[in-house]
Amino acid sequence: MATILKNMPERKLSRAYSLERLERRAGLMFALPVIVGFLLFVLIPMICVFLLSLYKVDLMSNTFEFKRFEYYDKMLHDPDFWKSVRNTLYYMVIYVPLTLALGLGMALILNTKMRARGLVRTFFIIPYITTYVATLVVWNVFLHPTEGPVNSLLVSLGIANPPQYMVDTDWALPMLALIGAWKDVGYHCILFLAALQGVSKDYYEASSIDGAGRFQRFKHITFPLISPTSFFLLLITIIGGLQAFYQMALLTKGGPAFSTTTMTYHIYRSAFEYYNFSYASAVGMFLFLLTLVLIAINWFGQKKWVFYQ
Amino acid sequence: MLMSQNVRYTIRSVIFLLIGLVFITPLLWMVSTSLKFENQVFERPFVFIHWGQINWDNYRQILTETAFPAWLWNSVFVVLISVVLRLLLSALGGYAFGFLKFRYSDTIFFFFLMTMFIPYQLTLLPQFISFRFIGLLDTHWALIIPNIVDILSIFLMRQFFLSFPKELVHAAYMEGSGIFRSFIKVALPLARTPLLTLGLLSFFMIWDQYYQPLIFLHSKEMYTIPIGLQSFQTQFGKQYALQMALACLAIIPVLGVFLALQKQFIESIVSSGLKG
Amino acid sequence: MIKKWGLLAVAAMLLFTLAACGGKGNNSVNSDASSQASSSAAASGETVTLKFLNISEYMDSVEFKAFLDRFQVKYPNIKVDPISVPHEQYINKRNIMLASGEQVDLLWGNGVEQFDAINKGFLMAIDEAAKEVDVDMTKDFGDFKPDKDGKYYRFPIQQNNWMLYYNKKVFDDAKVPYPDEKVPMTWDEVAEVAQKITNLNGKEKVYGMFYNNWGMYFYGYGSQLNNGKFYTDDGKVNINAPEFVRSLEWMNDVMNVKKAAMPIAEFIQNNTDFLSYWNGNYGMVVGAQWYAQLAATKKDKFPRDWKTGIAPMPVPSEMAGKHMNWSSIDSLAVPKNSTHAKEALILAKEYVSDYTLSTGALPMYTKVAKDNYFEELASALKDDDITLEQVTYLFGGDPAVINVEEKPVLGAPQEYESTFLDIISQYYTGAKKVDEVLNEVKVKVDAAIEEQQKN
Repeated sequence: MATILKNMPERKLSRAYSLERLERRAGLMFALPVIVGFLLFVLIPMICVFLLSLYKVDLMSNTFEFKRFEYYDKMLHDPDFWKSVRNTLYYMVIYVPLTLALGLGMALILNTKMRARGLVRTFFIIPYITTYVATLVVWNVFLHPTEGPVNSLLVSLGIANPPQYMVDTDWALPMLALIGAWKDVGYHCILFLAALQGVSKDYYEASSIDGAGRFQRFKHITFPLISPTSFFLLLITIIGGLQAFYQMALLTKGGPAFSTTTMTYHIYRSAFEYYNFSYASAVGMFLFLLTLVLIAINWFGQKKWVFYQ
Repeated sequence: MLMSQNVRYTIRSVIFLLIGLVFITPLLWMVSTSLKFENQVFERPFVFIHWGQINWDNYRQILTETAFPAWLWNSVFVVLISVVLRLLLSALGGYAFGFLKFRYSDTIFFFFLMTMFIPYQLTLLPQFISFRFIGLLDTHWALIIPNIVDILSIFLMRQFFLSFPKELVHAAYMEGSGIFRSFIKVALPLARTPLLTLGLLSFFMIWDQYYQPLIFLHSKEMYTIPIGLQSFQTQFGKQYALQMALACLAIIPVLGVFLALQKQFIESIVSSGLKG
Repeated sequence: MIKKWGLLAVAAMLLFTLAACGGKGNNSVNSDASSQASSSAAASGETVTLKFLNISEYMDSVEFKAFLDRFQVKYPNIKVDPISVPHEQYINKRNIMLASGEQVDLLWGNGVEQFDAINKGFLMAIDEAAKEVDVDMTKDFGDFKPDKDGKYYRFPIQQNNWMLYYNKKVFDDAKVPYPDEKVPMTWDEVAEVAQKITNLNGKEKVYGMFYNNWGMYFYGYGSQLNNGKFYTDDGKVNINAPEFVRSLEWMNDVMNVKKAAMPIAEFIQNNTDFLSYWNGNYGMVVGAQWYAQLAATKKDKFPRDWKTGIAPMPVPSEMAGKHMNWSSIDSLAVPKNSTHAKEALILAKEYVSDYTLSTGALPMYTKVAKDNYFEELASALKDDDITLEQVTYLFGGDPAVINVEEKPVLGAPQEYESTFLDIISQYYTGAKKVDEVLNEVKVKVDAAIEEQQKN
């Protein structure tokens, strides 16, 4: 804007000033639907959730009883809550690196010279776009403990007691994280691919003169250049991991023995199955804060590795 | 030398193609199973397709004997309206926050972003209460409205308009267009690519939604595909071939849209600022 | 920077005020609506609309539609708005409707669900309203006791009548004699027979026993042993008592040692439905009258080329020869914010008198003519060589039957049942010992009971 203003004759300058004012006014009008929608469907519900965590609410008789931080206190002393935090973090530890690494790996594959690239790319993206419930119906049968194709294969390979996946406390959560990564990785793949294709060939040519190896090249050239995309995807993946829900709701119902009850599922079950909406809201506020903290850590940590051109 | 490079190239392609196929094995298995009879589902040895005795009856049964056509229609209706409205609001909002700017616009936007992190299961109850008051329960509007304002979409459109060339819009002003007209005539057409991408991403996301219909709808006639699918799964227990046929049918519409627009979709991600 | 945060704070405050106003607005609307509703209910002769929440298994039937039509003719001023929810999602739906303050006038529930609702303070006592519609809660349902603090909250529909269903073809194939018509098998005999008739080598696996992933299939034997003592005298969880341990061990023996029932991992992942028994690949199942009505008499929906037999419910060897039953009462109840309690009970009364019989259950309401019930059922089961005498004896016509609690219903019943099922699977997959899982259940559910007592 400044450069335009500088080059303008004086008469037009005053017009530009008023134009700016007009634009500001129009800006508010343009943003109005979004702001109203935001207030109605995001902010007010969110504040309701916060208030709900402080009150004992009974809308059947319209009674509200102020409880201060009693529900937060209960939450902090609830072993189930801590187990759900642990499960969520465990899920994240598998899901986040796996999704990022697979996404990058698949993008690197697609970025090489090859035949049938379009077809392979489509294969990589398909799970991302397919209906989640439908893929879970498929996985449920696919991992069937006795007759499913996966375990039939394992048995025929000579493994006598293949894992029982969804009913084994050690296997269930990692499997759900795996399914989550499988489902979401297509998105990461496209974005990484877009970033890789944005890397100019000149850089590589310069480095090949230096005689850098393939890995060196990736480490010192490619990775820094795609780091803004990696950072964006990291944030998206963290949020996605924290809010993962479908697999637990449709495949394991948080079981067996609470082993797949992540925080979101704990919230859902406390609220809807056990009718502790206030407690669930307290857990929700905690999850919200946890998300903010994780995002903030990464935001400040990005200076170390994210390279903006 | 030339020959061997060519061979290596081909081998590499074949390996990558195989990796791709392994990646979608569950879906291939789904297609294969949907064309089998119930007693062939877990057969050993595994046969991909029994040519000559393909069981189309699973599909026929679902299309004629279940409410699938109604679910499909409901899904299409909900998704299309949601996507159109979301795009409209995101474009307007993105233009306002990214290009026009107004007093405190950045602060307000910062506030928007913070709320992106709230788990949506939590807002279901407040939303349910408000829909009850406006009388929107058990209507498709209860599924559409929560989707219209999406912070991530506004964020992405704002990113796009942040780097939008001022000269173009100012040229339109010079020709006598107002702010709204120049938005329509100049900004929107140029925003076609990010809007298309956003539209597709939203389409996939909203198509998937499962808990809103579960909580907001009472009548089975209003069900969308995901919840219809789930109700079917509990109803038909062990009839896997049927389940797989239904899963296939649930996927076909999104897959069709994706395949039809795949090229533009990927190109637009590459070319637009949608990668953040 | 300071300026920016100041602005943020102002914005936040502004939004809070807005939200608070919004909240207030909501409340006033709500109280308006309810006062309006109550006034319209008070003015007699005006039309009222009842929201009736029930499971789709009972609502999505031709018989229910016909019943509603009859009801509408009889009571033109009471309109019924049925809300039907599959049983699997029923609790979630009920909770969110009640939590949001939505007015529901009549809701269905089994024992666990209704006591859960009573404990959570959802329901109103119906003693007064019952009098208005000419029902005497103390007498009209036989031996039916008040639910809490001397008051009635539940309007009983039916009591489950449990028995043993068996597949005659599976018994014939294994050359094993049928169970006796009158003398119940002991659980030990059931286990032995189940093992004998199991055949896992055929084209289709045939398991000797079918079960459901419901509590009573694991603890029900124990309930028979200690007369349904699911709680200790001070109201704590008693599931780790030796009787229940023995009960769970019996199931483990059948499932994992004798391999006469489907392994639990497979069962869960199959989404095995309770009606799966009727596909013919199981020898026996313990089930209630709903099996007869939903499947055995509905050959168009559940076609089969084998005959079913019925026998009395299995018993522990200590109770050999006794006719026992797991008693659980399905009932209707009125949420406390309903303004049409009287009309709701009129509907409830008609429901049990005019509809329940057609669902295949015997209403507990004593003023219903139910002589035809046994005859109709017997004639529907004629093809299976089941006699009227047998039907009468097993479907509720035996006054000497010994009832024990089917499920825990007193403290935190909902939490009790789901925690139990979630945790015990670890025992059956072999990951944990029986005492470990039961103690785990006890610790968790005790905490839930304590929590509920606090509120």
